[in-house]
Amino acid sequence: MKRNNTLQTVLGVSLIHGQFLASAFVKGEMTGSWSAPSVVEGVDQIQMALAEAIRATHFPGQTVSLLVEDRRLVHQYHLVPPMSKKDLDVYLDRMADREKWGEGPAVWRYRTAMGGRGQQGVLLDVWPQSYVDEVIQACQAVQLTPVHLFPLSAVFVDQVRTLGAEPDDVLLLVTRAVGKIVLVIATGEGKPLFDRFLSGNVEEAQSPARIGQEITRTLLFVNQQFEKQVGQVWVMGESEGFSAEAIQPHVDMPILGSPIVPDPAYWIFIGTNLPPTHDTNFIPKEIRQGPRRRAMAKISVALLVGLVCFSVSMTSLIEALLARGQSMAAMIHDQVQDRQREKGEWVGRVEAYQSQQAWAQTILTNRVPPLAGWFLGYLGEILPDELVLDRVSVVRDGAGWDVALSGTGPQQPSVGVDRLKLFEERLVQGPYHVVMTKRWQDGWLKGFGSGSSHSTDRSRHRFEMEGRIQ
Amino acid sequence: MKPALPQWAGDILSYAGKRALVGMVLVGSLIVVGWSLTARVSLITEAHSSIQSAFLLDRELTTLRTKWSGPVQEEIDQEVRQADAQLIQGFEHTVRWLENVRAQSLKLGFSCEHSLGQTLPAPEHLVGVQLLPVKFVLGGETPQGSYEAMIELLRALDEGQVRVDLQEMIITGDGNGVQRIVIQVYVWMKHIG
Repeated sequence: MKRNNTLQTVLGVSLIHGQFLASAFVKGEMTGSWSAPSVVEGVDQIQMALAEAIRATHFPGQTVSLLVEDRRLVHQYHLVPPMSKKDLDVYLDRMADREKWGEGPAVWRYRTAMGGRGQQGVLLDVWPQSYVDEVIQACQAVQLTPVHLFPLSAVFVDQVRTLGAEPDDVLLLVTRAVGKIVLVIATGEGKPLFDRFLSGNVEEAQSPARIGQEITRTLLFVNQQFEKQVGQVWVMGESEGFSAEAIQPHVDMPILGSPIVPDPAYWIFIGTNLPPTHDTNFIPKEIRQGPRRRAMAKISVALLVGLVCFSVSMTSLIEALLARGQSMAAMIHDQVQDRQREKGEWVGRVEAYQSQQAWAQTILTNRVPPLAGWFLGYLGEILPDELVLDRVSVVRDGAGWDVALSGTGPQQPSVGVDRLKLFEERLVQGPYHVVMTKRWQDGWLKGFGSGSSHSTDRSRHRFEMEGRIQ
Repeated sequence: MKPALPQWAGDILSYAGKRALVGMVLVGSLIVVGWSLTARVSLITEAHSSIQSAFLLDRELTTLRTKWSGPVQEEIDQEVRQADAQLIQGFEHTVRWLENVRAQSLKLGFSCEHSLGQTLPAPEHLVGVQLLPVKFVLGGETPQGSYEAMIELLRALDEGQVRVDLQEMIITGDGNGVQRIVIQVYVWMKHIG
């Protein structure tokens, strides 16, 4: 047998009224099976049986799938009015509490089935909480994580889908499982309408006539309750007195024989193929995901430890580097202080040098040229012979020099004019570019007109000139 | 059978509780590590900054030493000494200088009288330097060539060891020669009291 769902390595266990059978699946292949020689009941015996099954099958995995039929399981079919899921949960919780086996809290699962006449069908499975806890504890005690805990009824409906009917067809599947005759009515796509377990005296309940009678009654019930016609009746499995041929004489419609011959290992196989999220799985999500969560926790702890180690190492490294660099930092700090002090001294010294240099440069250079002397020498060269200077004044005024010249010209006015004009031209156009501010003409003409009143020598005429050398 | 735990203990040890605890420890560790690293990294950055400062300071000091030590310093000292030598150093130096000018004047054929003015501040507000106005009145019997003699005197003043700035020159005379020369100069001197 090869499995095709996600549970590739799992220990499949069926515990049907104490009959313990285990099949080990490794990577999808069944690698071994083991059945308990005696009835298994109670947590201790389940635990021992599981341990023995692991040993006998050499099961290397850590997950277990359980298919259980037990006297403490209450399986019921209910027709309820349409209601919200929340209300349905409340309703079923009350029903479970009322219908449960024994005292104590109950745990329940349900599947919705097709209803009829405005009502909704519900297949309710109820187990005592204590029983489920015991099974889980027994598994955990042998280091197995239970991923499935299905009642036997859960696997039957699933078989309808294997019969190849149309999705909307209604089928009746009759099979024998662990001493019980089970009638499952479902659509071709596996949606259940309801199921029945024939009870009572075993011989009487499993006789072909009784089975045929129950099939007929069921067909009528489906017709009445759901207003649907059962299209096919299938018998799965074959044993003494239980076969399509044996039952056919007691039923008016043809009965088909399923090619599959189920045995207990087959139902285990079917059970392990059901998804963990199946409605009738009694194993809580927290338990199912235990290994993964433990692995995640281990990874988290490893990461945490790694992080702490990394942090400690990094901190130690940094601290060591810092400690080593601390003395160097102090030394550098002192050096910086010294350098700053030295720089301050140097800056002050440089400022003093620059100030001294500027001071010396001002004294040594920028000397005022002795222009007055040069100008006097120049006057000796350009003064015409007929002119006599009796007063020369050269006075420094800011950036320039003010020049004042006075003297006498020749007796003959026209000659005097020519000589004075020549003298003035030489002053203005010469190298000193004297800018005349008072020209000789005014005073000279005045003196000339007044009969040379300003002349000390009556035969000569006075002149005065003023200018500026820039 | 495991012993039943109290409700609060069960809550704490529940998966969600453990996960939250691990998460808190992780976040707490990261915060502590982050804080520690930040604090330490700031120390390292500070040390690095100190090293950089020390390096830059060293470089600046090297530049300063190279630029301002040795020859440059000597050169400045030399300049300062030269400049200082061109200043009248005090009262006695003033008298010597005036006598020297008088002697030169006499040598050139001039009689020489002088008068001193009030000291003035030096240009550009030079520290420790002031200007002493001195007016020379040159006269006497000056034959032909007195202009040349006067220029000679001016040259002697200008090219002397003491810095002298010619400010004013008034010459009076006639066709026969110079009768009176007034020369005003500013003599650079050290600030005295």
